[in-house]
Amino acid sequence: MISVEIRNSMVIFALATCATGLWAGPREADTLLVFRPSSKYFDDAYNGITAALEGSLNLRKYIVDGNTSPDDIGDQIDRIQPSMVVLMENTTVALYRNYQRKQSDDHSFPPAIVLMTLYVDSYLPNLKNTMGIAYEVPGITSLLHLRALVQAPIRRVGAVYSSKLESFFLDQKKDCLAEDIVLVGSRLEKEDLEPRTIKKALQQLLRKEKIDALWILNDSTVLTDKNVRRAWVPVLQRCRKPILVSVRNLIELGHFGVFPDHYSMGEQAADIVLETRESNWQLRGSNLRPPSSVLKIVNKLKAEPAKIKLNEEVLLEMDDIIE
Amino acid sequence: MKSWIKILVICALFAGSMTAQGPAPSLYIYLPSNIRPYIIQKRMETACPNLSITVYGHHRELDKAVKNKIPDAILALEPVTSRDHYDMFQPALYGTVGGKRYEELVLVSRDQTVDLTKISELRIGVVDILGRKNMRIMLARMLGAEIPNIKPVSRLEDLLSLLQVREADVILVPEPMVETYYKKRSRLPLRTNPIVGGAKMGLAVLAVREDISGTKRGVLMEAFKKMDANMNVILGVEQWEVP
Repeated sequence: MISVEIRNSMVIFALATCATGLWAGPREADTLLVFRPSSKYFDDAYNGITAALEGSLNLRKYIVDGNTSPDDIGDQIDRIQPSMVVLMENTTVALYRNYQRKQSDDHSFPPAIVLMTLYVDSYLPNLKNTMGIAYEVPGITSLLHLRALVQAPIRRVGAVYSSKLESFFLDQKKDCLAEDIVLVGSRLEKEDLEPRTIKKALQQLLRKEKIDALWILNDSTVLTDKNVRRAWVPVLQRCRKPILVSVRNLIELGHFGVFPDHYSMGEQAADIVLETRESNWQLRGSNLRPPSSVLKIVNKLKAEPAKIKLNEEVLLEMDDIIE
Repeated sequence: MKSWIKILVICALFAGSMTAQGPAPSLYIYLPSNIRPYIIQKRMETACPNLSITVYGHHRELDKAVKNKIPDAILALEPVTSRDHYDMFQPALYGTVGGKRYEELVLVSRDQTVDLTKISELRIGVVDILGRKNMRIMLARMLGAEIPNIKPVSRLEDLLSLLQVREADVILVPEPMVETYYKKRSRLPLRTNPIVGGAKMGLAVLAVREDISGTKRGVLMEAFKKMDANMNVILGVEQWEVP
C-alpha cells in the first residue's frame, strides 16, 4: 500500500515537473550520459569526470562521429533516461541543439553541461536546460601568469581579433583593467581576414601602439593555415615582445601558452553534476563558468633568442618547458 | 638487442629501485602547491636517491594509486593522510613551520570585506584535497557553518582566478600566502577576513605503513632528516619532527 502511494506521488511529482518544464530525473539509479568524440584529445576530461564520480552515479558514454544524427542523440536519451547529460565539442553541441529543436515546446530535457566547446556562450541561448564551462581561459588569468613569468613590466597588451569575437574581447578588456592591464585591440572585419591585413594589424600594434606583449586569441578565422604561414610567422619571427598563445598547437609561435587543464575540467564538470544532483537535478548558479584550472607552457627555445628574461622561481609553476 | 646489453639494462633498472639494504621504499606524494608535480618529482629524486618516488597532482590520482598498490609511505597534507581509508598509514614525521605543524587559514575577498555571519550564503573557493563530500565536512568544522556553495579547484593559484572572474565571493588560503603570493601577483584590492576562532590546516606529514619497520623505515626517516632547506621549502615546511 505504501509503495503504491509512493508511486502515485512520484507520478504526480513527475507530471508537475513536466508541466513546468523541469526535469524530474529518474529516481532509481542516477545516470550521467556523456556524448563525446572518440579522439584521445577528449580522454583527459572524460577521465577527470569518471575519477570524480566513481561510486557516486552510473556513467554511460556515447561516441559521436560523422554519422551521428540528432535522432541518435534522442534515442540514447530516451533509452537511458539520464539524470544529466555532458556534451563535448562543437559538433556534439550542434547535434544536441538540433535534437532539442525537433522536440515539442513542452518537452522536458535533462540538465546538460557543455565542455571543450569553443565559444560555448554563443550556443547557450539556443539550448534548453543547459549550462557550459568556457573553453577559453580568461585573459585576466592568462595575462597575470605572463606578468609573473616575465621580468619586464606588462601594462599594454595587443591582440588581433575578428569582429565575431568583439564581445569576448571587450569583456576581457574590462576584466583586465582591474589588474592594471590595458588590452589594445585590432579588430578585423570578415572581408579583412587575409594575410596582408593581418600582417598590417600586427605591425601596427607592435610598432605604433607601444604594447608590452602580444596575445594570440583562439580565433579560427584569424588563425587559418594560410594566415599563420603568410602573416603571423613572418611578423612574429622578428618580435622581441613576449607573446602569449591561447591555442595549444600554436605554442611554437609564442613564448608562453596558457590552456585549459582538461582533466581538471572533467573534475569541474563532475562537481557541477553533483551540485545539480543536490538541487534535485535543477541547474543552479551562473550558466557559464570559466575553466577552473590551467596548464602553462613556456617556450624557452623562442624566449631566449628574443632576450625575454624569465623569473626563475615562476618556472617551477610551468607544466612544461620547451627547451 | 645483444644479450650483454640486455643484462646491463636489467642491472641498471634493478639498481635504480634498490638500496644497499634492499628494495627502495616506495613513497607517494600529493601536495597541491603551485609547484608542478614533475618538478617535485625531479627534485625529490635528487634529494632522496634511496627512495622510489611518485608524485601526483590530484588527490584522486593518489587514491587510485594507493588502491592499485599500497606504497610504503605517503607524503601529503595532514587532512589527506588522516582520512579513514588511509588508516594503514601512521604519521612518522610532521612538517613544521615556525615550530608549528599547521598554518592559519584566512578568507580573502575582493574589493571589500565580507559579512562572515552570513558565511553559508557565500561562494567559497577552496583547493579540493578530499573530494566534495569530505571538503564540506572539513569546511563546516573549520568555519562553524554548513557551506553549500563550494568552488573547488586543483591548485592554490587557481583560487585567484575565481576572484578575478567573480566566480567566488571568498577564497580560503593559507594566511602567509596572502602577502607572499596573492597580493604580489594581483593588483585587485584583496581583503583579508580572519576566521572567528581561527582555522588551521595541517602541513605535510610523512605517514608510513604500519607494517613497515626496520631498514625500510630507517631509510625513509633518514631521507627526510637529511632534507635540505630548499627541498623543504618546496614541500611547504621548514623542518620535520617526530610525533
